[in-house]
Amino acid sequence: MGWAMGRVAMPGRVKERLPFLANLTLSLLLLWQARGLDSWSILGPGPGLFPQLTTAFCAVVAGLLVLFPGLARTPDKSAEDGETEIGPAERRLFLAYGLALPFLALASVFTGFIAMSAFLALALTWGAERRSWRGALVFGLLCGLAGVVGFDHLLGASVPATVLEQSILRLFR
Amino acid sequence: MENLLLGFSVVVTPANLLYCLIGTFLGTAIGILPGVGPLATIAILMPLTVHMDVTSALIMLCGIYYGVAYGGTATSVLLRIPGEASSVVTCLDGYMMARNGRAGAALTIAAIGSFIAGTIGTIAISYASPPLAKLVFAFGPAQYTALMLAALAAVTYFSGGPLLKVLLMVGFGLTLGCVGADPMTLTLTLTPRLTFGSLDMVGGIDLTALAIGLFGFSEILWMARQPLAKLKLIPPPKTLLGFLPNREEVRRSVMPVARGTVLGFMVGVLPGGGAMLASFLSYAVERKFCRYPEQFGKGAVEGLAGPETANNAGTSGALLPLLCMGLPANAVSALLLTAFMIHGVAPGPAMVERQPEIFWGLIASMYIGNVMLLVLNLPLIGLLVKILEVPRAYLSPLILLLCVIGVYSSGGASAVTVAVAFGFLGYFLRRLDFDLGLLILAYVLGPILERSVRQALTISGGEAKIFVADPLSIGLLVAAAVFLAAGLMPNRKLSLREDA
Amino acid sequence: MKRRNFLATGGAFAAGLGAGIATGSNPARAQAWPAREVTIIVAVGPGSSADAIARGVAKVMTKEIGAGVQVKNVLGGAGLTGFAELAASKPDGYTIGLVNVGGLLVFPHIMKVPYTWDSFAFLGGVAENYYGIGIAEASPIKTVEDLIAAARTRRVTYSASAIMNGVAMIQLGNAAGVKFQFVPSSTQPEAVAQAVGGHVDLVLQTPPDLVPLIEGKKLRLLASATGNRWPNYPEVKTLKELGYDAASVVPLGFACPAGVPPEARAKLEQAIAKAAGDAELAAAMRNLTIMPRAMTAAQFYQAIKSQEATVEGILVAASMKKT
Repeated sequence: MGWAMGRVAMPGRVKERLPFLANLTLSLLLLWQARGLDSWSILGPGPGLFPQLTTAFCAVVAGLLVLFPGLARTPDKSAEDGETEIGPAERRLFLAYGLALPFLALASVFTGFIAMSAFLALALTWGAERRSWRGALVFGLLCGLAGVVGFDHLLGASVPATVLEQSILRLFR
Repeated sequence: MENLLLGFSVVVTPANLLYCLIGTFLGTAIGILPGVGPLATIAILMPLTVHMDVTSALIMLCGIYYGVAYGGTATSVLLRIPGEASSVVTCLDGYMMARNGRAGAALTIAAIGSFIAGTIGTIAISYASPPLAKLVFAFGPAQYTALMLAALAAVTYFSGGPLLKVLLMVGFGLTLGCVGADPMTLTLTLTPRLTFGSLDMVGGIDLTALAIGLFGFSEILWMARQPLAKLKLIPPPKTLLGFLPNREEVRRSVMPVARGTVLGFMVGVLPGGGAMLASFLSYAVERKFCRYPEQFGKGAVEGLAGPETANNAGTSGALLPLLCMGLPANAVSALLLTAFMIHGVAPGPAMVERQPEIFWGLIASMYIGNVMLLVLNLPLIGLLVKILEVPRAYLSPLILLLCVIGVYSSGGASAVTVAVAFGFLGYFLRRLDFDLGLLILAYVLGPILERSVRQALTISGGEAKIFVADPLSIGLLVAAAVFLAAGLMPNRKLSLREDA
Repeated sequence: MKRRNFLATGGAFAAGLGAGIATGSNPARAQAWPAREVTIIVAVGPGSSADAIARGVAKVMTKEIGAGVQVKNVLGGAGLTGFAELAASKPDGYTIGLVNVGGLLVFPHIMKVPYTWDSFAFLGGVAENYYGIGIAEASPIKTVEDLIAAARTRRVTYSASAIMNGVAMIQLGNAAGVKFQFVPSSTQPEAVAQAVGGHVDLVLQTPPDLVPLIEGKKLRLLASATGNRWPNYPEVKTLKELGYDAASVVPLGFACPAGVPPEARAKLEQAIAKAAGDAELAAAMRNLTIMPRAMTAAQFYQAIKSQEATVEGILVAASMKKT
């Protein structure tokens, strides 16, 4: 860690090492988790053996890459993919979609599917992509209904459900 | 031949043809819609079939089973959401073909390839069952260990990126496979591993959450960051037959389809990896054989045709041990076994002798079902590609919601959180040019590898020589070593290719 | 778990609102229960015979109580998740669960679980699994005596997809003074294939797993590892008949969280008893070779409880018991 910090003067090389450093940290963290498991049990090899081996393997590979990031460079591929300059419009969109994902995780715990669809459509279709808010709301509600009735009721999949979804489902039973 | 005619005489009644149609149609629909799996559908339909004629019921349930493999392609190609685990690879080049305006061609090639694979698979089941079924028993824990090592080494070698990055993904995937309760001592001691104390993680990382997060969610982030100008899709051709592949694409698909069929069927027969391993191996092989390796990941036809065929061949292959030995190779065929038993049919060698009309009826229905699937699917393609014309403002929320339904159905709210986390991870890994497919494959094969190693050592009482006790395992281990050694010389490999 | 509690509370609230409508069609049952559909939590995946039984029971119960009964597979944690969810669900009579031995007998001894025996009220049993010892057709071992003789000279292994299947082998080993090595398999077919291929010596599974291969002359049924002989192979003796006090007993039945109002509980018990006697379900069970066995709530409780000492002994012997 301290070793990498010493190279701050060369930001390009630090940037290249950063992902591998993150990986090394994660591997060591997982190795630390696996450390307490028995590596041998009465049935033969125990529950700990394999995780200890795989996490140690990851740590070694990631460590090598931190030391010699050149080994990860591909000769023919340049920075054409993904590394293009982006303007403020794209930055705003990326932020909106980036926030939408954690929202989905929270909404599946708390809000139920219909409210989730409506909020999502409002946030993305209206907020980020600048379509009319009415259209977005109707679209979101329709998606929500289609999810509850089509997927949950007709197809036997399940969607996050609260009082609202359950009362709609009861109408069909 | 006589037997097969008997089979056709059983199937070709209006009622049975109708059930075959219903089954294949349902299967396709289930395959297309993420979140609705064949497992749940067959479980729900099973009690309804109790009063049906035995043959009809089984024909319908089997139709669902192989219909799903057809349908799974659509969302992978069009939206980069893997409908089933075995269509993960299709997300790579199939999706890129769609971005290049060849969505129709991609779906058509996949449908025709699937048809060929399904039909040849059925022929193989009709005529080559007994020797192939022996293969199932030849594989014990030691042989599986060798097979998994060989498969991982082969995919590592074929994947072509910088070796250390490839190994890092494999190692990371294997580690993810360890998360959750220890599977080996599951029934004895519930040992949570790498869970950081979370109860939600005891069940392990959900495969659907992992696949949809890494591919579906990460794609949403990826698209959002692209400059608007670059996002313009090349529109699909507007002509009536525009969804047909052109001559070039057909020419380049022939060999991948042939190789995919053979590879997929052989791998599918073995329990465990099944259709998914088949599709990955096929992708790896095609990348090596292809004359345009630089196109891989950017919409290479070979990268779609091979794996899609292998996936379907694997699905038929997995039916073989069920029908001939009564040993289901995956969860869905295990469910089919229960359905058989409820109807008083015990699949296996005895069924071929005592109830030939059921066995051969099923085989005949599979020939017919494959034709039905093709007829059903080709007209659908024109309709399906229309979804690409939906503007992003509406398509993105739709994709996100479909992903949520898929993940939530499979693992509840905690799985959605996991999928979101992997969505971000997948996005960053893609920017750093890591191979996400490898990560998922290692995640799937890891637990099989671990279990096999531990079972083998339990049987031998801790002696390692069980791994080299028979020619099959030795051969596979040698293959693994050769692939690994070849992978250590990436530069030579590259220069060879440039000379050719 | 948080999410599920929220669901249950929300559901109860909705039920209060909708009670009038839902029961309107059935005035005779217009009391508090059942006002909405009942959910059976099944901690195993669709496709297992236990799941098939739960779905069959649900069908009979629907007719019997006049409200929908649906099966919900709650997977994960080797069945622990389903058990924990059942224990944590609201005791309103709308959530019941399929109970097998692992959740109550095995897990509590080896790890901290969020429930005890007192978290549940038992409703009755419907069936019991048969188990058998399968051995590769070509094996030189022809009888249980041969098997014990072999175990005195070399390491004899058996595969099974669950520890409860192997209880009979542990008891047999104790009775004969030998040891059989358990090799855990992840799935039933895997356990069977390993025995047929000769990678392990024996396999302990239920009839649906073994019958196809016995019929196909790949496996022999060495003995029944249950209290009764298998109905489809009546000539094969049980271990008990051969003089060894050994049997794997896994009764299948239902329980609800403790604290369900007595009225609802009585109706549930009644419905399950009805299902246990249902002819169609019994026929389906016979096809799956599961022993239909109607048990009252008390009998079912006893059937599981009586296994406790055996299982505990095994776990202690295997030094698996938590300290």
